[in-house]
Amino acid sequence: MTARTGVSTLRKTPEVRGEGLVLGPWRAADAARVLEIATDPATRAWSPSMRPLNTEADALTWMSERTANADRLDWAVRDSASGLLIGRVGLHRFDPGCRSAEIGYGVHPAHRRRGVALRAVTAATTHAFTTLNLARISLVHATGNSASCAVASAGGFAFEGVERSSLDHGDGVRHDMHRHARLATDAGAVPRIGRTPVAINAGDLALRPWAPEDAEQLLAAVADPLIARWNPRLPLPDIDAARGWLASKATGWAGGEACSWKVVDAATGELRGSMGLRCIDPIDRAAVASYWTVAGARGRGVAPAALTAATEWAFTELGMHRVTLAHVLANEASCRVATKAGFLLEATIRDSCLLRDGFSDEHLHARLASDPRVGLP
Amino acid sequence: MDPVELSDDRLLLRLPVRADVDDITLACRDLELQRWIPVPVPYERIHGEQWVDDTSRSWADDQELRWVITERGVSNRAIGAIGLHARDATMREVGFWMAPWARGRGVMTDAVRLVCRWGFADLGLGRIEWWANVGNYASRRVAEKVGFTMEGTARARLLHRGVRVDGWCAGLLPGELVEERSGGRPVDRR
Repeated sequence: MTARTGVSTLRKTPEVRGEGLVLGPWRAADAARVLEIATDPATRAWSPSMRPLNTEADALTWMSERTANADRLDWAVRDSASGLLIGRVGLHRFDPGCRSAEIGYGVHPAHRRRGVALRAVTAATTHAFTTLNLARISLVHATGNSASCAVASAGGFAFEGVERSSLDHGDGVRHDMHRHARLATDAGAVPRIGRTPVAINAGDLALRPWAPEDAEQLLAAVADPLIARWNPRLPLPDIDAARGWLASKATGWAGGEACSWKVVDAATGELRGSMGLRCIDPIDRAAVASYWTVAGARGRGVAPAALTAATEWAFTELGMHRVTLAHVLANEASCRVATKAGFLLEATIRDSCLLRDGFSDEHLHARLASDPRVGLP
Repeated sequence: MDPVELSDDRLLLRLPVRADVDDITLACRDLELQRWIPVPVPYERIHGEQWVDDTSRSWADDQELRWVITERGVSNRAIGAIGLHARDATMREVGFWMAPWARGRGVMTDAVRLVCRWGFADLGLGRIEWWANVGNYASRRVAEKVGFTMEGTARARLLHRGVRVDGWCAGLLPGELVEERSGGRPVDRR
């Protein structure tokens, strides 16, 4: 016999940042949008809890009941740029013994097919694993709900079986359901959200995604001896190597592991340097920054400005909490860049970088989303 | 709900009473039982008493409809236990254990069949679930003999004395109950 309980002490709705969206508490002003979600045919079909909603008053009641329910942690999902309500996501059926819960979600009909559900589920699951210390999140859906099945698969929720007649949809029919689950220990199940490369404005500078036609410019820039000295994976010996490097940057965007940009003069488009975020980890909400500046553009604050812009973007758009960077001890210019951009020196890590003349210690710097803002000159 | 007893030509499922505590305590000290059933370890007499005394509440609030298993015409002593745990309005989960001295004669299979038949006919259940720690083949054999279909393995879904373990899940729907006895061999209905 299995013992399960439904006890939870969760009361307050925490704000959780995801990629391009924010999870937060319901507001009375959401009633109209909630009603639009509830009356949509797909919601009617697959979300029985919203079926009784026919008026804005119903929507208000639904929101307040959800918030008051101690066995639920229910979020409104808002677009991080516009603040518009685009969906809902929630955890329920908390099992403190198994440290497990079940996830549910829905997307406003005008915002479907843009990965909202996947990004909201990823943010809520990450919060569940990292902040609530849960070990398992179940995701169940009626067998006919193929959109939900796709979200589960993309989100790293392993398929565990079909439980027949297991879902009470409140329509008098018991539905077959798929059971998926993601465990906090599922190392291979870290969801990777492929991204469309985007540009970032940084005042006089702009961070723009590398393009295939940048190969020659890139090749010339990295021929500089200082770049070669501090970046053992550079220089690039020929144009094919440069094209390969650019292709790997595109793969990083598409696979969700990395984002990288050329840093250019916003007015002229002239190349000033390179900026990258890699090892993007949605579980720990951490990423690693790296950069270099072309020889003729050094000493003008290019790297600190680019690093600041990319890091802010990682906090607000990727939902990252911690961005780190490491530089070999002898690269004092990089240490100054990190310090100017508000990256605290945390440690000296030993023999962590293999340069051409042997292993070198590195400084580990990090900046948290919660760190005070830095004012750049 | 009000407690009911269930019986067929072989078994009587009745409510546990204080007189059962010695048999229950001895059975629950069995290492093989403790391996698969999350009873307290060490299992003290007080645990048996608490379980018996909790019976009227567990029926009254519908959470667990609980019986001990006895063999009619043999003895009125409890040789096992079986229960139906509430899951939703028309779904319950069956759970059971058998004393080591009563295993191997198909008693549990008959008890599960009796309880499931009653659950569909009298409670109007739409599904009965069975969950067990992965590896509990004795329990799985019972479930399969009465017609349960194995549906999946949920990882880290069950709590076994503080340790999260993988769970097998099976379901039995109305009309799927295997009524005939199979002489103790697993039945392949597919």
